[in-house]
Amino acid sequence: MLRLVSSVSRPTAAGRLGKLQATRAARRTFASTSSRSADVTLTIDGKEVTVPQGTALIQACEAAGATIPRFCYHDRLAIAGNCRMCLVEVERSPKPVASCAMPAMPGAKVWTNSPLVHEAREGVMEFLLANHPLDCPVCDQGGECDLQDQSMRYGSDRTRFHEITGKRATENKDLGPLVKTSMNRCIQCTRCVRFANEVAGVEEFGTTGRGNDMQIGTYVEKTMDSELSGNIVDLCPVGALTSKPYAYHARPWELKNTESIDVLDAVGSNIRIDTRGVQVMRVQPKTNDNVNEEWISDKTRYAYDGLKFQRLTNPLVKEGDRFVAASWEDALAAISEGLAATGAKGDEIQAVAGHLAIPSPLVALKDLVNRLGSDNLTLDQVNGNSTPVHGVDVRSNYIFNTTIPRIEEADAILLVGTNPRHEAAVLNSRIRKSWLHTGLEVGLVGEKVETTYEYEHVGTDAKALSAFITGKSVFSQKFKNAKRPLVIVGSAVNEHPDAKAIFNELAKFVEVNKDKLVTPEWNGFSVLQRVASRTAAYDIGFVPSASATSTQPKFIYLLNADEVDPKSIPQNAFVVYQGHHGDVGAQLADKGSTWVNTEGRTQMGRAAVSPPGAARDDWKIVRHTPTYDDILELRDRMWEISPTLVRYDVVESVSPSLVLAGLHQIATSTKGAKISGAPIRKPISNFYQTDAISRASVTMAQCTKAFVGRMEEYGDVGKGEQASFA
Amino acid sequence: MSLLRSVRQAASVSRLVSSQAPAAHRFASTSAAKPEESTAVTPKPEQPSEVLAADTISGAPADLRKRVVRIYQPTRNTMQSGGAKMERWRIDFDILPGSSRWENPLMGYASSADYVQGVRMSFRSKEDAAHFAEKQGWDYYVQPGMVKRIPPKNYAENFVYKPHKLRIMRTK
Amino acid sequence: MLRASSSSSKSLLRTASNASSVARPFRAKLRNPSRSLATAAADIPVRRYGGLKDQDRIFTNAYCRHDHGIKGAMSRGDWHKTKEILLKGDSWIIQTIKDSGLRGRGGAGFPSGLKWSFMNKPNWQADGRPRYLVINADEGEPGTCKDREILRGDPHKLIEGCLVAGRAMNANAAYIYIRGEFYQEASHVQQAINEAYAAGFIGKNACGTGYDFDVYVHRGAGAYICGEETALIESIEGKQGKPRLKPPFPADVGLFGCPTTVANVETVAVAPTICRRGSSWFAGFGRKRNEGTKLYCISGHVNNPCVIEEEMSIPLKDLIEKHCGGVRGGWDNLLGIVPGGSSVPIIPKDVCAEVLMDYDSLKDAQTGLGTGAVIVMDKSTDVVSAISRFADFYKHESCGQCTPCREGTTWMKKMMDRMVEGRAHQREIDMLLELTKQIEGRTICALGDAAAWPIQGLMRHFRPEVEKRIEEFQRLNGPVGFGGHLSSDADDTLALPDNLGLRQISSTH
Repeated sequence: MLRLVSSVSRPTAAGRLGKLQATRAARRTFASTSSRSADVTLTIDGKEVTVPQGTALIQACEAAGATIPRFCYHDRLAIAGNCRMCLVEVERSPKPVASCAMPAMPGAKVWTNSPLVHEAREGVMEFLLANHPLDCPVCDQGGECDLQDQSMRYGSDRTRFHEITGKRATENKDLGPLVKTSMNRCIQCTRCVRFANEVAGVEEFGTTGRGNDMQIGTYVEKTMDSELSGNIVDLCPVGALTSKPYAYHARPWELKNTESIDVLDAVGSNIRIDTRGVQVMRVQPKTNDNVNEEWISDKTRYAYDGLKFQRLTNPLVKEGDRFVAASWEDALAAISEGLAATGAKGDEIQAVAGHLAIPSPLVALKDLVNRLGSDNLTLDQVNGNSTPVHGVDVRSNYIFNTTIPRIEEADAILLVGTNPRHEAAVLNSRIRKSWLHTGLEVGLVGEKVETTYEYEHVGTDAKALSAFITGKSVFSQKFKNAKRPLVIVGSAVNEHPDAKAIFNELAKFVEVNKDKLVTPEWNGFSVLQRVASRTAAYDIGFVPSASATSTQPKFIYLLNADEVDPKSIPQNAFVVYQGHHGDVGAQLADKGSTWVNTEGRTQMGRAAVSPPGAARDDWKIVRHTPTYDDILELRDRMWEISPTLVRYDVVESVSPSLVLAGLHQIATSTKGAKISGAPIRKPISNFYQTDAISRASVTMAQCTKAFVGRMEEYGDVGKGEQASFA
Repeated sequence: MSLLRSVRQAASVSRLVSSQAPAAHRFASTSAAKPEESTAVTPKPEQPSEVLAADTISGAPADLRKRVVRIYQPTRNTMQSGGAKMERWRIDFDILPGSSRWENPLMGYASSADYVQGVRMSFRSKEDAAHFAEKQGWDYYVQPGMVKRIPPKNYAENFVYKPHKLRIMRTK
Repeated sequence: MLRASSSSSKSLLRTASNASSVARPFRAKLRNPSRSLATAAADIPVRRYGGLKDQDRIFTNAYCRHDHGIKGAMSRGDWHKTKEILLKGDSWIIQTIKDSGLRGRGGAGFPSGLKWSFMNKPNWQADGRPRYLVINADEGEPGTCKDREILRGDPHKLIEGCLVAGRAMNANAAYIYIRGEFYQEASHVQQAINEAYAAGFIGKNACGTGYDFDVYVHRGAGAYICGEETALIESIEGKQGKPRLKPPFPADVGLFGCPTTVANVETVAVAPTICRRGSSWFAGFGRKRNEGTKLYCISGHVNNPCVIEEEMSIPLKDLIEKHCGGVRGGWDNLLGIVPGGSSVPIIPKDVCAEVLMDYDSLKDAQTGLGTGAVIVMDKSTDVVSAISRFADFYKHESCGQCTPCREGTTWMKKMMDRMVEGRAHQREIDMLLELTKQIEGRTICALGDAAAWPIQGLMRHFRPEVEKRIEEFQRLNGPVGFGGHLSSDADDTLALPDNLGLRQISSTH
C-alpha cells in the first residue's frame, strides 16, 4: 500500500505501486499464505513515502516522484547494480548508495538531488562517455538513447578524455539477422545478458574478459538463437544493439506511433506500430502486464516487412490461366456471376476463415453465408471443415482459462501437444520466469521440443497421456502433489486424429481432479490457441454444422485463408480469395480491428497505415450482401453474437461450474473414442514463417536460414526456401 | 463504449434509431460487469448537450467528418527508461478508408488527403479530451491506461538459497 | 588480499548492533587490568612496542623449516586440547576473540569477534540453510606474502582455526579458497586436511565433540578481484569473480545463498592459539584497539626482505632496522614506504620515521595497515613509475562490472603512463586527482578505492617530482596539451579548440 503522505506528490506515480500492492494483497488472500504485510516508511527528498517491505530504493524513489537516472536497472530484469548511475545520498552513509540495489529501509532519509548525488552521477557519466564513441549522428539509437538523454543532465559539455592512446575499440559480434551490434558503444550495463539468461533462455550469452576488456557476447561466436532476441534492442540503453532490418531507416522523431495488437500469434501482444508516411518502419512492444509484459516475439517485431511484398492491391479475376487486374465493381460482379454459374446451393457454399481473419469480417462473412443458406463455415486448419472436438458452445473449452499472468502462479504444468515457445513465444517467457523463480515442474505430452526450461517428457502420443492420467508416469505424482496444477492443451490437438480421445481423457481427468484444477480461485484447464483469429472464430460460431462437413463445396470463399491445401479444393469450385498476400493463398498494420487473444481477451487494434493501392477493408468487401454500412453497426452485431467481442481489454472470468459443464460436454460427446497412437507432432516447425505475412517477409526468411535449419534437425527447410525469393 | 454518442448530434435520424437499441444493451451489460471492467469503458448518462459539433459547420469533405478517435495514454517507449509524456491523454484518429496517404513515386514524399494525420493533441485528462472530441463531433472511445505491475524488487534475489535444483547460473 | 570495504563493514556493524549485545564499553571493561592501568597513567605511550619474544610467536613454522605435516604441527602445539575449546561452545569462543581485540588481518581491520557473531543471530537454529565459513587465501596483493607462509608452513594452524572459527559461528563446512598460483601451498593444505580427517580432528564428529565439520580446498584461477569477499563467494559458486553489492551481507546471503563469513587466513589461523593461551595474552600486545601480533612482510629496498611475526604497533623504523637489516644504503637513503600492500598510499621518509605499524597510527598518517605488506623504496626508485605500475595492476585486475572502476582504472593507467615520462599538461595532475575522487567510494567493491589511493598518495607526497618531469618533458618537446598531445604535432591549419591545452598562453610567461 503505497501512501504518499506529503501533498506535493504526483498522484499517478503513487497509483502505480499502490495498485500493485492492492492486487498482490488480493491475490494473497486467495493463496492463503501468510502475508508479509510489513510496510516501510521512508523519506525521499523530504516526502514521506510508504512502500512494501523488500522494495528497492529506486522503486521507492519513483513512487515519491523522484526520477532516478539508470542504465542497468530495468523493471523486468534482475538487479545488477553495476552502472552506478542511480546513486543517491542516504543519511548516515558516507558514500552515495546505488538505489537499485539498496532495499528501502524504514526511516531512511534519502536525497536524490543533492550536490553529492549530482557530483557522483556526473563522475559516472564522464566515465561512461570516456570510451563511448561520438557516433550519435550515425547511430540508430539517436533520439531515443538513454545515454544521450542523461548526458544532457549529468554530462559535461566537453570531454576531458584526450588520451593519445584513444578510445577503446571492440569487435562487433554477429548475433544473427535481427540484432545489429556496434560494440564500441557498449556501456556494459549487461541488460542484454540478463534478458538473454532470464527471459529468453539463451544462457550462453554473457560477458567475457574483465576490466575495460570486458565484452558482451557468447565467447565462442554464435548467433543468438531465441525467438525473443529482438527485445535486447529495446533494452540496450545505448546504440550497441540496434535493429538490423530497421538500420538507418528512420529517426524516432519522424515516426508516428499507433498502438495496436499483434496478430501473428494468438497471444495478442500489445504493440506499437511506428510508421512514416505510408510505410511501417518498425514494430515495438507496448507494455501490458496482463499480456506481454514488455516483450514481443521476433516474428511480431520483424515480420512487418512482409507487408510490403506480394501484396494484392487490386482485385484479380482469373481469365484463362492468369489473373487479370480488375476494378472492384467488376470483381464483385464476377463473384456473383461465379456464384450463380456454379449453382452452389446451401452448404455447397463454403467460407474458409484464415489465420489472420479479424472478427468483424468474420461476422459479416458468416452472416453472408448463412443468408445464402449455408452452414459450411470452415476454419483454415487440418480438420477445419469438421466441428471442433471441444465444441464452441462453452467458451471455456477453447480459451486460455488460467489467463496469461496467472501462469506464474502454477506450480506444475502439463503441456499437451504444444510447444509454447513457438506457438506463443511471449507466454512461454512467463513459464520460464516461473520455472526459474519457483519450483515449477513442467511435463510434456507430444513431440520432444526445445524449450527454454527443462521438462519431463511424458510421452509422444495419446497413450502416454492416458498413462499419465492413470498415474503410471513419473510426472503424474508431481502433478498430483502440486497446489496449482495447470494443463495447457495445444490447439494442434484439435487437428490430431486422436483429438477425441485426448480431449475425452483430459476432460475426465479434470473432472476427477476438479478440487484442484477448477476452483473459484484457480482454473487449471487452458487451451492455447496459436492463431490470432481462432478464438474469435469460435466465439462467433464460425464452425460447420454436421451436415455441412460432408458436403462437397462448389463455391469457396477464402477469407485470409492462406494455409489451405490446394488439393482440398474441388476442381470445379469457384474460389474467391480475400486477403493480403498472393502467397499460397492480412495485415496487422492495416486494420482498425478487434482481436481476441488466446485467453479470450478482446483488444482493439488500430490502423496504422492505409492499405496500398485499391485494397479495401475486408468487411467492406464482404458486406455487399448484408447491409452493414458502418463499422459501428458491425460491432453492434458482434455484440449480439458474443458480448465479449466488444468488451475490450477484459478477460471474462468463467465460473468453475461452467468450466466443468463444458468439460462434461466434451467428455460425453467424445465418449468411447479410440486411440490410434499416432504421435502428436508439433504444429509449428518453423517459428519464423507461420502465415502469409511472415512468409512474405525477407527478414523472416533470413531468420529461417540463420536459425531454423540448424536449430533442430526436423526444421522445415522447404518453406524457408519458398519465401527466399525476395 | 460511448462510440455512438456523438453520432446522435451530427448523424441522420435513421442512423440514430438503428444504433439506439444495441447501445442501450451495452450499457446494461457493462453496468452489470465488475467494477474493474467499468474502467474499460466510460458510460456516462447521455446529457442533452447544446454543443454544436464543429464538424457540421466546418465545411470539410464528408469523408473527413465524423472520425472515430481514440483517447488514450501513450505507454512508455520501450527503447528508453524515461517515463515522460506518459501522463498526458492523447487523441489519435482512424485512417481514412482507401488511400488517404500516398507517396510521391519520384521523391518519396508522403502526402495525405487527411488533414488530421499530422495532428497530435494531448490533454491533461481524459475528460478534457472527451469534451474536445464531443465539440468536434467525433465518435470517441477511451482506452483505459495500463496499470504497471512491478513486484518489489530485491538485489538479494539474485543470490538467495533455493532448495530445489539450481536452474540458472546468474552471470554478471 | 583485497581488503573488505571498511565503510561497508561499518554499516555491517551498525545493522548488527542490536543483534549483538557486545558493544565497545563492554570490551573495554574486559581489558587486561595491568594494561588499562598503564594507559590510564599516562596519555603519552611510554611503552615501546616490538621485540616479540620467541615464546609468544604463533606461527612457529612460518619459514617452513620444520615438518609441516600433522606430526610436526602437533609437536608445535597444534590440535592441543582442541576438543576442550570446541566444547566450551560458540559464545565462549566468540567472546574470547572479542576480548583478544583481534581485528581482521585481511586489510579492513574489522573486529573479528563481532564479525563472527553476526552468524549467530537470535534464533539461527530455525534457519534450515547450511552455514559456511570461507577462508580467503587468495593472497594476491602486490607485496603481500604472509598467508602463503602460513599455508605452506603451518597449514594445521589454519585447519584448526577453521574448526574453531567454524564452531564459533556454527558453520557446517569451511571452504579454503586458495589462489591458483599457490600450488605448493594448496598441496600442503590438502595434505593437512587429509591428515586431520584421518586423525578424526575434522569431519564427522570432529575431535570427538559431536560436531560435524568439513573443510574443502577450492583453488582459484588467478584473479586478484577474487580476493574480495563477495567476488570470492561468486568464484566458489562457479561464476565469474565479480563482487556483489552489500547488502545483502554474506552473513545473510552468502555462499550458495547461505549464511557465510569470509575470513582471512591469518585471522582464522591465530584463533586456536588465542583460545588456548587466553585473550588477555593476545590483548597484551600492541596498542589499545590494535592488539595482537601480526605477520609483516617487508620487501623492496631493504637488506634482508622477510616475513616476520611481530607485535602490533611496532614502529615502522624499528621493524625495518631490527628484522630487515635496515634500508639499503641506510635510513637516509629511504625515499618512501608503502606500508600495507599496493592498495594504500605511500608515505615519505619523515612520516616513516614516526609511524607505528598498526591500524590507527597508519590511518592518521593518511595511509593504512592493509595486509601489513611493507614495500620499501630507496632513493634509486622511480616513484612515479612504481605507482604507475600499481595503476597498471589495478587496470588489469578490475573486473569490469561497475563503471567508475572499469573506466576509471583504465583512464588513470593511461595518465600515469604519461606522467612517468612527463608527457602531460601541468593541469592534468589535478585532473588525475579529481578522477581518483570520482572513483573512490562510487564503486561496488573496494578495488576502486584501492586503485585511487596510491595515486592520491603519490600526488600528496611526491607532486614536485611529477611536476619536475612534466617541465623537463616540455622543455625538450615543447608544450604538451591535455591527453599528451604534443603542441608541435598540432596542425596549425586546422581550427583547434583552445581548450586542449595545446597553446601556452604566452602573456603569462
